[in-house]
Amino acid sequence: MNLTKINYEADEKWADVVPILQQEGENSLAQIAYTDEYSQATSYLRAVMASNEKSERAMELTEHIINMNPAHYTVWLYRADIIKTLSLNPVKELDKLEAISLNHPKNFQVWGYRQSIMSIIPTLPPKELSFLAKVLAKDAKNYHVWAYRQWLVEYFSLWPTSEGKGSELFFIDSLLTNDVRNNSAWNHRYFVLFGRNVESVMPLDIFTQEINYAMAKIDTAPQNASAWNYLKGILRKQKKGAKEVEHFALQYVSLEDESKIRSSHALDLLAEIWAGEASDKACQALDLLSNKYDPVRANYWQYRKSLIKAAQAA
Amino acid sequence: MSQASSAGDKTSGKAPTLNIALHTRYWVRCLKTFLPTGYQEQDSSRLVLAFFILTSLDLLGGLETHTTPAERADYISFIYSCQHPGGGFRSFPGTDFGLQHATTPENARWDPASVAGTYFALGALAILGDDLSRVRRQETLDWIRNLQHPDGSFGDLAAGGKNATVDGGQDVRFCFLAVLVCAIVGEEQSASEAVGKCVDVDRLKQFILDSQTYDGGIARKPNCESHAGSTYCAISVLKLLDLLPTDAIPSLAENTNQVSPTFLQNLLHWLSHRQTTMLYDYRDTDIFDEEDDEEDHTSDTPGFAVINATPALPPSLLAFERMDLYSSDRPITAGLNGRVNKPADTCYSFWAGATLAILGHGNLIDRDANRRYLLDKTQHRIGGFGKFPGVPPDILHSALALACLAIHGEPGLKSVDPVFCVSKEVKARLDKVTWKRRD
Ligand SMILES: [Zn+2]
Repeated sequence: MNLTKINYEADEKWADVVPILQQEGENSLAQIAYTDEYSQATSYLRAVMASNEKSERAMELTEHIINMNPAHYTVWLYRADIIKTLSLNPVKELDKLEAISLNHPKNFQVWGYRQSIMSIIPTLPPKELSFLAKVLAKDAKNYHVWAYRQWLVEYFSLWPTSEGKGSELFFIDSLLTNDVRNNSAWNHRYFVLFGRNVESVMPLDIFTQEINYAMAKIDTAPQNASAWNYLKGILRKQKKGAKEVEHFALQYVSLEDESKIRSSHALDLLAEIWAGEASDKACQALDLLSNKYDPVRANYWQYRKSLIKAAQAA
Repeated sequence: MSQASSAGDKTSGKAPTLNIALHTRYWVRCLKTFLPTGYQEQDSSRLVLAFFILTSLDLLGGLETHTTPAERADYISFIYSCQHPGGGFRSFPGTDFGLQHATTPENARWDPASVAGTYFALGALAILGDDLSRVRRQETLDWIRNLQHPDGSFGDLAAGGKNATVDGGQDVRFCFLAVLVCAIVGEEQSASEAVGKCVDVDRLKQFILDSQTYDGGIARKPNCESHAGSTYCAISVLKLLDLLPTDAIPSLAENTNQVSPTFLQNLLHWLSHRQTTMLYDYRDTDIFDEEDDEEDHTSDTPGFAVINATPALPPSLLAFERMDLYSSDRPITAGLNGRVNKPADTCYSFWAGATLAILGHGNLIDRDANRRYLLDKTQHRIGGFGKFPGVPPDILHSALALACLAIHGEPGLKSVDPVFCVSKEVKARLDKVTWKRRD
C-alpha cells in the first residue's frame, strides 16, 4: 500500500474523527517547518490516541507517521499495544518491519520495538539471524543492532556451544575476518563467552583459547587497538596479570633497536608489565610513546610515568 | 580541503580562531526562524533542541542582547506548556491531547513525560532566567522515583503517578538525566543527598559499575560496547553522587565507597585513546557508501542524541596499519571518536573531553590538536559545526563543539559546567532555587 499521500480530511474512512491540532504559541522554541502531511497525520494520531482506539486504520496511521518520523516514541508504543490488543500476528509484523529497519537502521525506537514484538514470539523465527546479518552488512558497527542481538542471545539462549557454522562464534569470526578492527564484533565475542551469569559452564581452557585467538589476530594487524584491548581484557578476567604475554609483545618492540618497533599498543602493554619490577624500562617505553610513537597522547603517557614515580616514592 | 566550507584559517599557518559573531548569527537563526523540514525526524526532541540553542547562545554571551524580555517570557511559557500534570515535562508538545480531551487511565500512556524533556526543560528555564517556581516539584520527584527499575537503571517515559507504566530502560543516558533532575528539584543542597533521598543509589551505582567493559570504557548497559556518550553519562552520575576520587594520583587510602583505582585507571586509558588523527571528509565521496550519508545527523533517542552510529570505515582508511609518526614542525590535528577504531566525530570532543574534565584530567588529551580539529576541520563557514569535516552544521554537534571549547577555556566563551552543560552563571542559579535548604 502506498502510504505517502494519505489525506485524512478527504477520506471517508476517517470522517468520524475530529483531529486534535498541535497547540503552541507564537514564540515557541525549536519550531520545525513540518510538512502539511505530517501535521495532519499527527493531528489524527492524537485523536485516536485520546480515544485509545485500537483498529486496523489506527495501525495504518502509525505506519504512516513512523515513515515520516521514526523517532516519534509514543507511536511505536501505541503500535505495539494495538498488535497485542487485536492479537495480530507478530511474525507478520516482523516482516513489515524489515523495510523500515533497513531504511532507518540507526533509529533507536525501531530496535526497542522489535524486541517488544519478539517477546511475544515463543521461539526464534528462522529468518531472524539472516535478517540481522543483512543489517550488519550495511553497517557492521550499528550499536542498536548489537544491543538487540545481545538481548536475542539471552532471550533465546543462543550461547555458543561450539565454533561451528550457525554459532555466534562462527558469525563473529566471519566479521573479524572481514574487518579485524570491528570493535563491536570483539565486544560481542567477549559477551557470548563471558557475559553469561552462570560462570561454571565455561570450559577451563577458555582463557588460553581466547588469548591465542587475540594474539593470532594481533599478528595480522599489530596496530589494531581492538585486539590488544581484548587480549588485556581476557588477562584481567583471568586475574593472572599480563606477564605471560611479555614475550609475545616483545615481538613488536625492541628498546635497543627502534627500527623494530611496530606497535604502540605493544609498548603500552610492556610499560604496564614492567611498571612494578622494571620501572626504568617502563619509563623508557612511555617516553618513546610520548616523543615518537604516540605523541598525541603525550600527556597521558607522562601521567602514567608519574604514577610509577609516585608508587616508587610511597 | 577546500576553503569554501571551513571557517578556519589554515593556509596562512595562523592559529585558528572562533568567530563569535558568525556563530552567534547561526544560533539566532536557529532560535528565531523555523528549523528546516529535515528536523521533523527530531520533532520528539523539541525541548532538547531548544536547550542546546539556548545554552549555546548563552555561552556566546548573546542571549540577552538578541532576545527581548517579552520573547524570553514567551519561551518560558512554551516550556511550561510542556509540563506534565503528573510531574516531569514532555519533550515535545506533540503528545498533548489538549484541554478538551480528558486524560484517562486508558490513554495516559500515550502522553508521557520524558526524562530528557524534563532535564532539558529545567535547564532551558534556568538559562532564560526563570526561577522554576512553577515546576511541580513533588510530582516530579515521585515520577522520577517511579522511573527506576529493580536493576538500578531508569526508564525514560511515564505519565505521572506512583504506579504509572514505565517505558524504556537499561540505558545509562536515562540514569544521567534522572539524576540531574533529582539534583535540581530535590530540596537538599548537595546533589548526592538530593538523589539519595529520591532513588536507590546503591543499585544505580552497581548498574553503572557493571557497565564498564573489558577495555575500560563504559557502555550503555552491561555487556554492550564501550561508548564515549555512555561514559560521559556514567561518570557525570558518579561525580554527582560523590563517588569519584579527587586526587589525580590515586592514594592507597581511598574512600571505600568510591570507585576503585583500577576502575579509574582503565577508564583513563580508554578515554585518552579516544583522540585520533583518523578523520574523514565527506567530500571525498568516492570512499563512501552513499546510503550511509543520510541517517547520520538524526537524533536517535527520545530526546537525547548521544549514540551516533557512523558508517563503516571506507577501505582506504582501513589501511591504517602504521603508527602515526609526526614530525615536530607539523602541528597535529586530532579530534575524538566515540568508540575504538572509529573516526573522529565532533560531538565526541565533548562527550570524551568533558568526561576527562569532570575526572580532573582534562589535559590528558592534546587540547590544541582537538581545537584545530574543531576550528579548522568541522567549523562551518555559515557558523556552527558539522559532525565530520565537510558536513553541514546541525544543532547538536554545533552546541557540543562550543561546550567543548568552553571547557578548554576558549576566549570569548563563558565558562561552562561540564555536567549540566550550562554556563557557570546558570549553574549557580540552579544551585540557588528557592527550595534549596541552606544549612
Ligand atoms: Zn556525533
